[in-house]
Amino acid sequence: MYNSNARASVLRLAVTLLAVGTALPARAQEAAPVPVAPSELTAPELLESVEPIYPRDRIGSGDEPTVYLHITVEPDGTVSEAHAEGEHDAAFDEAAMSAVRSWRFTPARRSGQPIRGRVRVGVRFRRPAEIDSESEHRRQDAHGEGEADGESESESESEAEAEADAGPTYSASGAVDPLHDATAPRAASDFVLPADLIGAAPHRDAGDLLASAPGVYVSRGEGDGVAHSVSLRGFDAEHGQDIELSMGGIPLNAPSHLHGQGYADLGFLIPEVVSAIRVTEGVYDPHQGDFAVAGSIAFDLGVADRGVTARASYGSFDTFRALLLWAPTGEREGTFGAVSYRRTNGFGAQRSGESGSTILQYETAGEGNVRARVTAALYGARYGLAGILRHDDVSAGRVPFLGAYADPSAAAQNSFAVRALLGGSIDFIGERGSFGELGVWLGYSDFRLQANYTGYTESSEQNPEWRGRGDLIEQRDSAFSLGLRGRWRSERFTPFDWLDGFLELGVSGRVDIRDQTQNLLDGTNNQTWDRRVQANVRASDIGAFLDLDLHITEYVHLRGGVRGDVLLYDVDDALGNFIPAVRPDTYLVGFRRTALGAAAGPRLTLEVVPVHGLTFSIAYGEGYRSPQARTLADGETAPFAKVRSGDLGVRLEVGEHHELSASVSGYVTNLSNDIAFDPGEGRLESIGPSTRIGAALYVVARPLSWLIGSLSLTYVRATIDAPPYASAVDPTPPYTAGQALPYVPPLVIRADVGADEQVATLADLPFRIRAGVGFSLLAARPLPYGDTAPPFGLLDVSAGFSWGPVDFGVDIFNLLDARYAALEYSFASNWTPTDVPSRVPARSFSAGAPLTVLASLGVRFE
Amino acid sequence: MRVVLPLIALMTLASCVDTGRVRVSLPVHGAGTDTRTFDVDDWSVTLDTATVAFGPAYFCTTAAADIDLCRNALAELRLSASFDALDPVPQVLGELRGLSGTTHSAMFDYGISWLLPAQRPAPTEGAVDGAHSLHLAGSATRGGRTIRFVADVDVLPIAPGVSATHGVPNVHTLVDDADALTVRVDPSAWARTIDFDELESLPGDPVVLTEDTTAYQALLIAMTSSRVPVLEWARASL
Repeated sequence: MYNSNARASVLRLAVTLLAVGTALPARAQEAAPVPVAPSELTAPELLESVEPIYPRDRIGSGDEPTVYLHITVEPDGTVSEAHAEGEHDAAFDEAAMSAVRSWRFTPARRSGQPIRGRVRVGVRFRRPAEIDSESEHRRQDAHGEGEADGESESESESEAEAEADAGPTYSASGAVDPLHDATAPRAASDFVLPADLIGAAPHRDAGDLLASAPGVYVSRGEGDGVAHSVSLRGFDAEHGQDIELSMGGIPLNAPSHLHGQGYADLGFLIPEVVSAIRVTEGVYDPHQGDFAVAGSIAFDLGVADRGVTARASYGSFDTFRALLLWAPTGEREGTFGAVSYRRTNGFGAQRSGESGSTILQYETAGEGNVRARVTAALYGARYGLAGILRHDDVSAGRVPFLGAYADPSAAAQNSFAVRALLGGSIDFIGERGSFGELGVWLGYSDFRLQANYTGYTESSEQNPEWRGRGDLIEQRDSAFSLGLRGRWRSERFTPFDWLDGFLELGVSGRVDIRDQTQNLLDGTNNQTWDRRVQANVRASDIGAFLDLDLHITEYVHLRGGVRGDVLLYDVDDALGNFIPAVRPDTYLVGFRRTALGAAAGPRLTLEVVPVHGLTFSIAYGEGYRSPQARTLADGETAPFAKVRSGDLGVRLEVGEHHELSASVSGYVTNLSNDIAFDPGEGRLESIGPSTRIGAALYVVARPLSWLIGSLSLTYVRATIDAPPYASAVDPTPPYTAGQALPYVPPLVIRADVGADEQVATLADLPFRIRAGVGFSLLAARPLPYGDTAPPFGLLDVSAGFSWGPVDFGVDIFNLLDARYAALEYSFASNWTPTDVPSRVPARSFSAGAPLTVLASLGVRFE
Repeated sequence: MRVVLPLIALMTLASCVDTGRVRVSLPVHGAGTDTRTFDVDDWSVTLDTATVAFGPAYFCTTAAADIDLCRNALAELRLSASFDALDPVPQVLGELRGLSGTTHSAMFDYGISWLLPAQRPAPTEGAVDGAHSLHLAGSATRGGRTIRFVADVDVLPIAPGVSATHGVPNVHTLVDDADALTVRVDPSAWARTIDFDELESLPGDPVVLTEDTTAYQALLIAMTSSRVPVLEWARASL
């Protein structure tokens, strides 16, 4: 039974090294096992163990599975290979393998010489609730302050021996990782996408992994060098304005980015190193900071399959990708190095480009309960940009659907991005569930975009006589960022028998120094013919939170607290106070100002667990989005976009191994100041308050050990709550009550199915086959001015096999070759400058990728 | 099917949303006046011909329509057409396309536009005789002397992308396709600004009003400033 103790309890792991049935010669090239007489062998002995992590989403299950692993102990005592035996819950298998890979042994010996040895290990998990005190005792033992629990150890040994029938036996204790425990769901709309689920269907890149999350639509309409556009349950989050994105605790959103507030380019992420995605839809967790408006998405990094993997892919549009992945055996899953390179001619005109990325991460258990992690990433990309096309131009045959305007200004469109990240963290697991974490990170980014959204409509503000040279906007945003985070959770306190809990305090902070320019370029000769932005922005964010985690009897769980952030801005706007050419100069151009503001709000979640596997929850929270710094006046108290979220739902887990889990939720989100993309300026502009009301269904099924599937349906009605702000351009913007928020898909359906199974052993090597299907369906999206973007569905499939170290696969994206618009807008543009221009907003779009086939061949050495 | 039908219903329901504005398309007519004869001082003036070109035209939400404030127009007539300005019966000019909402001002050309990338203004398809904004011909009589005159007026924008006439106040809320627009001009009002005494000193019969004449400039000012067309809105019944 899931109860209050389970969250903070520890589990005990009984490990049995079974008979050394085979041994391998020490030299690596002699890979085949060599049978030897048992009497000549000395079995490996456990020297050092790393506590495994009880699968977070299995804590309440009461499961006590025994996972049997076949592991290879190298002559140096490290574990180089671990495979689970038989059909078990994948989560427990992975937890056991992850831990065992980090163990150290004395090697097997033959005639005194170290040799590779293959052994069978039984890892038994016990119900957390029953072993809480015992495991606590063992934790003390790990600190040298307690004594081993001989009784329970004997018990586990005898059970393991009974199953294994022979061999030396070792025991180790394990604990539920309190850092993971602290990320337990806050609402029914809180999801974790494990590796097997996000890997079930094919994905184009790491950003596309988000498509498997409920309510998410992700596209890359501005080319492969610009950040993905993400829509999450009613929020057109553009490039990240409404979603707090992070990787291993490092924030990825860029505050006050010139191209869009909260711009988050996920291009640097290598999908093969993403071990899980945590999606919080709504803002209910005091840990959630800036940009957590629609919610938060966190990428966890790790590589389960240890060894060196090299893979090359080639396919449609002369697309080539190479991957080298190094996951040293004997290290934790979080330790790896990966480098990838990609080039493509693109699926249409002006989409060719190249990119490269490397991610390195080292994670160590360290001494005692101290764990450290260092993550570094470096990324660079340059891609062509086809731009946005008018529907009427495509319909009239003036430009192909997958083409680009045959115009010098359009031909000069491209994107360029460089990003470097370096982060490190240390966490400490203390007594009775307490822990502490301290992390710092550094970031550098350089973004440059040349894009023409509107054709020929602009005139120079610097010299009004300069007109008609093409609206090729050049945006550049380069930034240096520094941040830190820290948190501490108390030991569990138990003031009453029916009440226990934890108190957590945390801080976070960051400083961003951004240089921004926006110009108009003449596409034929790259001459600058207008300057629009030349600014230096220094933004700081200092946040703190308090989070209380209370279990009130075993049926009620109350979590929540408060978060506050202080934001400071120092803006040097060199083109501010612009003097029009028609006015005499009476001062020098420039506008410098500072601003400060504070945002604070509560976050609260109440869960009721009437029976094991069934959880009702209600959550409320208030979050914020920071302002675009250049919009602030001097001394302005930094207005925030305040978001209020409510979520009511139920989570259900069925089956001994959670073969079926489901959640249903209804939600409402109110945003005090929404923003939308303005193609005229190539950036986001304010549109006023808005509300989303909707419901979501999410089901994950694992009916067989080799089969996984998920289905999500997310419905939302997104409306503007008040007339849009009057402006000089539009003093009386039209408004009707219940007016729909444009660009938001009211219904998003996503299904993922994956199968992966060993079907044979050929030449003593395992032969596995796999297949995957991903399907996304978007309902018709409302566009401004009564237009509607038609619905579309995308079907992606994959199939492949692996035979020993060799892996081959084929990924097919958009199998049905659906012709669809990845992004749709409505704005005035004119791409036929020799004709009388149109100034009425027209439907415009960025084409989605057609049928794409990629074949991959990989090899993995352990 | 039990799953598909509710799904389709849900998607249909989800798609039924109001985004505040709708696209409209409505007819534009040009109408003149039947005032062919009128007096100016002691001159008795008769207009024989008055053909005017109108368009392209843009209707803007801003109080003063110009190229910078009206990058996004509410509605537009993207072509130009000429019509008989001495005929009060509305004549079809073309179609106004745009969005529902309130317009506050308008800007337009008289058949000659200066497109953004062009080096100089050029007539559009509907220009009078393929070249001009206005063709005006008539006669003025005083004391038994009759002076025939003719003018081919070119109303030129002053800069690329700028309309020849801009900032013309015009408040109207476009609702749907049942709206209609009539561009009403009064060539007699334009002709009244001519200094006919000047014509006496000009050679030729008829006297040709050229760009360097005061009369020509008077017509220009009248057409772009003091006697601009009246933009009449009505529910379509024509």
